[in-house]
Amino acid sequence: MINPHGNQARGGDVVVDADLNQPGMALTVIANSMEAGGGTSAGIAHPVGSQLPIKRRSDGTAFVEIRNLAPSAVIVAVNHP
Amino acid sequence: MPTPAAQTLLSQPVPRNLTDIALPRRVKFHSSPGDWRDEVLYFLLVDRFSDGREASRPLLDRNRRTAFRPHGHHRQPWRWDRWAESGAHRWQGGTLKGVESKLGYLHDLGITALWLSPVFKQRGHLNTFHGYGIQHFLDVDPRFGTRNDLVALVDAAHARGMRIILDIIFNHSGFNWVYPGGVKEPVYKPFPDRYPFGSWLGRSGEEIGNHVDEHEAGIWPAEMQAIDSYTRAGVGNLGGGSLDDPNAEHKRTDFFTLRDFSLSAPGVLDHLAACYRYWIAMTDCDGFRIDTLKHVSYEEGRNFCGAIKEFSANLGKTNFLLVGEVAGGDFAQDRYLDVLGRNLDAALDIGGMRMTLQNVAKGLAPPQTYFDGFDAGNAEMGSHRNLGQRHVSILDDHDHVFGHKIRFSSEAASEEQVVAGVALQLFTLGIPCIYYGTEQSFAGPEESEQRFLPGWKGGDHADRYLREAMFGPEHPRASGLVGLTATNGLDLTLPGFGPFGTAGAHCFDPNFHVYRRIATLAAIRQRFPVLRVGDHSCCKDQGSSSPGPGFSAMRRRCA
Repeated sequence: MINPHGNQARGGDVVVDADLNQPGMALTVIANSMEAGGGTSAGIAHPVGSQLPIKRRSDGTAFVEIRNLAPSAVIVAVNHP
Repeated sequence: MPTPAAQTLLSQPVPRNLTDIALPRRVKFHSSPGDWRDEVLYFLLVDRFSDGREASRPLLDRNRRTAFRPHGHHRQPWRWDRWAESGAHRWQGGTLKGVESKLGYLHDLGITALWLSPVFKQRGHLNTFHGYGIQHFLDVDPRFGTRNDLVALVDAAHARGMRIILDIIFNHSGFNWVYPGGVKEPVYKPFPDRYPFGSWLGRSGEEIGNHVDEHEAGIWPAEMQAIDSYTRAGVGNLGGGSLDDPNAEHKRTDFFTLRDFSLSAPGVLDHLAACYRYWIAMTDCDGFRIDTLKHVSYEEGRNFCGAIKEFSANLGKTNFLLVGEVAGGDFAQDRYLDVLGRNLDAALDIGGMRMTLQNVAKGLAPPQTYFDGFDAGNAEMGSHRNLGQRHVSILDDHDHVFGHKIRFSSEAASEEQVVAGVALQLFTLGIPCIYYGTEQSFAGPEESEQRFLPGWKGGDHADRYLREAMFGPEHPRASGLVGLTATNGLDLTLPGFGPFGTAGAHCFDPNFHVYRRIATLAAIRQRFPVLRVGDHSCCKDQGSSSPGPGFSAMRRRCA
């Protein structure tokens, strides 16, 4: 996930594969560019090691919630870390 | 340790004839990677990257740039126009030894393969620091170093698990001769017309007639001195004619003063292939980036690439990378890849996709526009984007064939935004290629100065602003032959063309936050195969939690 905005935080619901990501599962954040530059994880959204629970809409769509991703931040999350 | 073949070839003088060369058979060479999608490429201009003497200069303090704009000749205040002149018209002094000294810096960044700008011998009296004007196809330019230096660089890279890709040209030679009357760039003559040959140029650029005998004059090896090796059609439109026409204007024209080869003439293609076989055998390199591929016909391209593929495979390099520079846009890239088939592995994404990549990374275009380029059903961008192996992603390069000739960082909202751009390269389909200086967010001089600079964002030598000297020389080499000398070879009247409009300070900073962030992301890419080879799609943004445009989310999947 990438926030291309240069100076505002962004977020949204990201659709994931409903077959590979069942309810009760979670994606694990394995990289957050805002930490990688030598910064700390304090106060940043979705730090490394945090979980993104799989959620479902009534139509069966699976998604994860991304909120307040810092300007120009990049995070990578996987379902099998 | 250089291969036995390299040792044998290096023990012999630089060949003057292709018949002087005995290439090795059945000896062990460094094998190819199984899949080039596993690699992260880094493109550097040898003249502009490192001279290996950074320890003699300070690291640039980005917060005190004015301190690195020294007084000039005779105590004149810093002059931006002189800095710009240095960048456009002078060799800066980078060397192969310098590149070798930075392998650790690059390795720690996560780079696994270096694409070097052409290292072959240029005309001594000309300032073709980019390397695309070859005078001797079997020698290394002395300003870059020696054949030994090149072999040592490849050997050192292999020892670190890294690979080297050489940049080669078989469409044209350097400015080695003139048309009758000393004319440099006559008006184009359509097929089948051509001009008579004029005269070879001597070591200082003087006309010497039809006979070449010294190393610095005319062109070498001797086989290339046959005047029918050249199209001799003059200078036409580089985009003129149909892509499919082997005699189209864009295929026959000289590249300004760079002389177009007549590849259909007997022996010419064989001679060029023999030259590059020599470099594979000597250096043990891992691939070629092929310059100006659009300007040769499909058949010539297929035959040349096939010859290289066959030779390298016979040395055990069964996946020797051939990546083409096909200018003219995404359709042209796709066309050459389709027609050349398995003889050409990949094309550089230097067309519309590079600009789309930039725009998506800056939030100026929806992410879907980039992913549309990988859509097999999208005729505009071409079906090759289905296949990551055929696609080398480019955020910045030394030319910017499309768009303004300024780096991504120059108009980025922040230094962090560069990370977003590189992340798109690292985690989408294809082989990512990072341009030197990106990891240091090279952005050119201060915005307040930019509009006063010659050629900024277009015009005369605009591409100079894509080609800063990362090692921050105090002064460039002197122009022409004087610059070839080991001592007193500097032009003290000009400042070096250092990054951010400076001179005398280098920019190799492994603690810079952008470097560290890219290194972290590259390591993640290396750790998870799915991020290199998995299926790939754009995730829909199901409603942003904040006003305005949303963000980019992509998915890579292995079932």
